[in-house]
Amino acid sequence: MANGVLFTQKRSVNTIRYSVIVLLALLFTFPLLYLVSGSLMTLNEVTVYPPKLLPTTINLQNYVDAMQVMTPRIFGNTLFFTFGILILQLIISFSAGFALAKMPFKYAATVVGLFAIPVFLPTNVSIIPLYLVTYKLHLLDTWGGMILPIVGSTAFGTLLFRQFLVNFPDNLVDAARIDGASWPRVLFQVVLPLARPPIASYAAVTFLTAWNMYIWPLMVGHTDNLKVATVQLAPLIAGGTGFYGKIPPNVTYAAALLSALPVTLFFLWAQRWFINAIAGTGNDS
Amino acid sequence: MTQVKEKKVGTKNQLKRNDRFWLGVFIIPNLFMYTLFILIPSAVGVLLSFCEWNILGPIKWVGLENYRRLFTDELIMPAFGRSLQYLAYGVLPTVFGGFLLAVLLNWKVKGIGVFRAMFFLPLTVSSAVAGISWSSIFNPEAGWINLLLKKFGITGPEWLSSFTWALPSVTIIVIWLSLPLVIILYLAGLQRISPEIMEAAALDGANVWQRIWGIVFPCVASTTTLVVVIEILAFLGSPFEISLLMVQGGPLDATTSLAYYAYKVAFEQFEIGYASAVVMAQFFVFLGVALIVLRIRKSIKARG
Repeated sequence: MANGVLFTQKRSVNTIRYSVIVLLALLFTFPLLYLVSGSLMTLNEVTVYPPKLLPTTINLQNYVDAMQVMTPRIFGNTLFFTFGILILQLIISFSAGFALAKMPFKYAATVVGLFAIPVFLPTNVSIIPLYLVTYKLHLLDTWGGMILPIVGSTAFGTLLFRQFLVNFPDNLVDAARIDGASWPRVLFQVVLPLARPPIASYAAVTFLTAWNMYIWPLMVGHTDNLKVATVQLAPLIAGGTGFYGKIPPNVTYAAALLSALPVTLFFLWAQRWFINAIAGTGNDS
Repeated sequence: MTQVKEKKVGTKNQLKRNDRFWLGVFIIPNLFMYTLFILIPSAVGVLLSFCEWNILGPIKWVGLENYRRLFTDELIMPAFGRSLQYLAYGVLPTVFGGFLLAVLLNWKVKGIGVFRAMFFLPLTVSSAVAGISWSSIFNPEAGWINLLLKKFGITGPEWLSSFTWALPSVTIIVIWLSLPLVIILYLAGLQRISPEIMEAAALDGANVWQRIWGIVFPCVASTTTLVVVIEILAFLGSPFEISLLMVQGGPLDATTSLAYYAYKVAFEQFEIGYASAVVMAQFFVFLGVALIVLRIRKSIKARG
């Protein structure tokens, strides 16, 4: 759909449309823009009434102070949590997706059907029994309990990879097989290098989801050495009272931005892959 | 297709056993994890809804007792009502708003990428970060909304600390968090409309507004169905997290949805069996609402 087809080509109409977009974009991102602005203010500026939109000077000290909240340890934990989920889930989802697409066996259709079940289950439906299973496995307050139950939700990745690999040329796989390549060789040397688009899409979605996860790490990781960024930030939220705790709002804003920075930068860089992953879901509906 | 492949690859019979070994290596770890952490918990959840259990004691089968209790529980009807309120206030604005924004952003013009990215941003922030940034918007005295209302001579409500306004406030935050996904899905849907249809639309003399709803919207009907189902799930689930983070279900339970209530019953009262029944009730709400949506979709389709 080219621009001129739905809206008239007239310059005045285009100017209005552009202005509306700019205005709405600023309004929509205002909560985040103010977070940036407030994180650069001094304590006086951020608490003054009526509040100010912009800081008079750029005050980076808040970010230094925020490192006391978003400590390297917290960052390390969040990275470990995120990449633990990402890597383990990628390995088991990709290999299973490959097997379901390229290694025909009797029950393939049944297995694919099995993976379609959680589409119908709201996310929080199984969180209570999931907690109980984790408890029974003695995994509460361990990295295993944080990561492995989340790794178990392989449905999205497996179906995504299977879908891509079903359309992957059979003759490439067969040629390698006839040349005597083992299945792992086919998987790693033939298929994997050509499967970058779905892997990138999958990685983008999973990275974002895992980095921002709150309830599960809150329930399972009580101890300090398992604390991730979201769990660390949660008590700083002013919420209904409008009052912040011991940490002043400007430092809280800086800490929130520090926690969001890696994932936001990553998103802006990997936007295309992310959108492909989501847009793909709508394709065949 | 299966048959054909079998012949191509399976000609060397001695490889068969080897094939099966690798098939197992590729699939079993996945199936094991999936069964252990998705299928079993789901089944356990259903079974526990027929039992009484406080985690420490023995599990006792009580049949339909938990479900009977659902109908006499004085706290569940309000929670149920609030879940419906989240759905009522949240789903349609998100779907229609997301659609209109996608139409607006579906434009090949300089700098559009930047503005699209701005609309996608809430997708990248956690609920915790969203909670911190929206606190500054909803603050009763120094919050930006009430300052703006004051300019027009209106005294704004206390938003998150008001019994009446807390639920709409949480809904607004969930809408904000949900819109990016809806915009992305509709942008993808709009790409698939054929240029001929759009050109025909331009010629038939209707104004932009009529063309958007009369011609473009029906063209993305399959996207709409998908988006509606996704958003029903989102508004049944996400208010729980936002409410937990910002107001802990309050004030006076004003933002406690079914999902939150189940969480409270399970982890504050340790009534795992009854909590599971509440979760099942929520599942049936979803099923009911989704079926109504699909029925509406069908009847619209039938009318042409």
